[in-house]
Amino acid sequence: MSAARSAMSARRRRHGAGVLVVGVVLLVLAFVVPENRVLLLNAFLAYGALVVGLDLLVGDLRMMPAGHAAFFGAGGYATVLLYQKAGLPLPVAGVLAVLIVGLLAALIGLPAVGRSSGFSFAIITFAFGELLIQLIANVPGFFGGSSGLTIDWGVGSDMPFDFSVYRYFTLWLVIVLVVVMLVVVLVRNSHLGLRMKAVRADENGTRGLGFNPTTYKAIAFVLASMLAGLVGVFWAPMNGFISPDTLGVNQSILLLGMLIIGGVGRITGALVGVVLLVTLPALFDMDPVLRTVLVGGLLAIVALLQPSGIVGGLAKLWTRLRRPRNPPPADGAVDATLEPAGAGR
Amino acid sequence: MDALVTTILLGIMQGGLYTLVGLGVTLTFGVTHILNFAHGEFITVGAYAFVLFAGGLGAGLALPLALLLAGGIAALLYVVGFRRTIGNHLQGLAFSLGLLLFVEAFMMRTFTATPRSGPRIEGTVALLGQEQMPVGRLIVIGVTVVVVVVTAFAMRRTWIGLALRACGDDEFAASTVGLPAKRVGLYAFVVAGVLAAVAGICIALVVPITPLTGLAFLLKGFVVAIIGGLGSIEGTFVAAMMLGLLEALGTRYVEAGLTNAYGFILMIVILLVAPAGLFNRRQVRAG
Repeated sequence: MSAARSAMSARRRRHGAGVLVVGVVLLVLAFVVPENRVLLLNAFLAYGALVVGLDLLVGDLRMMPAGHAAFFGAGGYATVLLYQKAGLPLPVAGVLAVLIVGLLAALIGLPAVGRSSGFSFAIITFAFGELLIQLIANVPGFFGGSSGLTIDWGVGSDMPFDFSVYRYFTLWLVIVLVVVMLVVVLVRNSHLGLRMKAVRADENGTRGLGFNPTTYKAIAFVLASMLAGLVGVFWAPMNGFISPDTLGVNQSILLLGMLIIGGVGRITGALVGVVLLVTLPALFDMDPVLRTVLVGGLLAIVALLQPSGIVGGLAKLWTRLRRPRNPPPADGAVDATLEPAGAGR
Repeated sequence: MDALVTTILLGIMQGGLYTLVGLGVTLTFGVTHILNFAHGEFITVGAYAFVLFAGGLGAGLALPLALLLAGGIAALLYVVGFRRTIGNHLQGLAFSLGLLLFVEAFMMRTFTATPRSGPRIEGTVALLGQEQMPVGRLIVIGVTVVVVVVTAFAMRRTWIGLALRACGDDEFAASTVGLPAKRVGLYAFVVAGVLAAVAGICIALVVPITPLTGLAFLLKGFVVAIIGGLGSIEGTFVAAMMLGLLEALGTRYVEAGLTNAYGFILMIVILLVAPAGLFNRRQVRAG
């Protein structure tokens, strides 16, 4: 037990240090990146944080939310509305927005997370995203309708370090990404993470051990949704504009696509997926609709041929090359395939 | 009173369309345990094929062509993809979500978001009082009634229907008499694709279509399939009629902006009260 515990804390320290190194690199990037590439960096940071947070559900629990972007959008809308209509200062609005998102997630999740096969979870999260769009479109006076909300604030001039608004928010988004990665690392290498692993492996077996799997699924869902909301809190003011497009089902599937194509269960997988499907297409000025076509097609193909994603596939290949005659190790990062959660059926 | 009759007829029409979509969801799930998020795209493909072919070849030829195309695509997708995901529902979900995104964005790129109208059926029929009902909608009601009755009959009397029901009832027993789920799944997907295309054609007859039409109806198809109890044909029909009438009456008499919320609320309430859905005979929970 204590050996396991010290191994766990050693891994936690190692992964945590890795996250901090990535954070420092990104921070330097935030200062040196040329002005016309700042938005690109911001997109990478925001999508990276969203996808890494999403992995808490897909990678650790094999839950497949088809409406993750809805919580991102909810966070953004809540911030803008609280700031604009209620006149709250931005930090207060952000904190409140994250709490609101957590509350929404708990409300939406409660009827869904308990079911073992994950179908009503996928459908209810899917329906939630669609409903949110309906709500926004039907109350244009308050939510800005389908054309979206602009945030009108005259802060362009008084940013620290003489930064532009975009570059100023880059700093915040770096912090958000580091926070999200740290949360994921801490959760994975903790007892909560071990119990989530047990729920994924055998839901009924977990019940036999005296843990309620629903509790852990609910915790993970609310946590992941709040992380998505946190990204929205900083994205909406950075962008200066938020529209229902950002929270639709298409966005949610894009996020799932990046995660699954990159590789489930690893932070590197998530980030590789984002680079491949957000950063590269933007560098080459790819038409967004064409990019969506590409992500959809790739998602279908990868799900079919290599469910552990690009990074997972490479890791498998590496293990095979390194140990040509031995079976793969029993522990280690073999938990990256999309095997069904639990032997429930 | 007159308004009530019109509203109920509208509800029946919507309910009929939801039945067609929900039947496909339920059939494919019952046999293969795949929840197909790309099912709505069969609707879109069917509707667009019908509208485009009808423009060039006339509606008479467009109808079989659209059905054939949707059925063919469903068969192809099953053989190439879904068949390999049986037994791993997350892989199936990821595959179908990818397909949904791919087809939708592809249609968006090819046909743009501009709504397109199919061939219109002119004229209205006078109901009891001053209320008028367009002939097109009555035809849609007629078509859905006929298709649903034929499907229900085929499920009880024809070989394919028996195979589908056998697989849905007991996969293992069905496989011992030569009906493995992997093969019967093909029939389920073709039937589902054709039913979805019928729905798509009906939709194109009464409202303009966009590449997003399929997604909107898919959501309703899921709702009715889950309320009815995944895998249950009677349940889907009852749930679809409930939802159609609820939406029509709610839109008319309560609040039109909330049309899409009614089904969702109904689903959550029913999932809380009866987790397996209304008509699920087996102990397979709705999800």
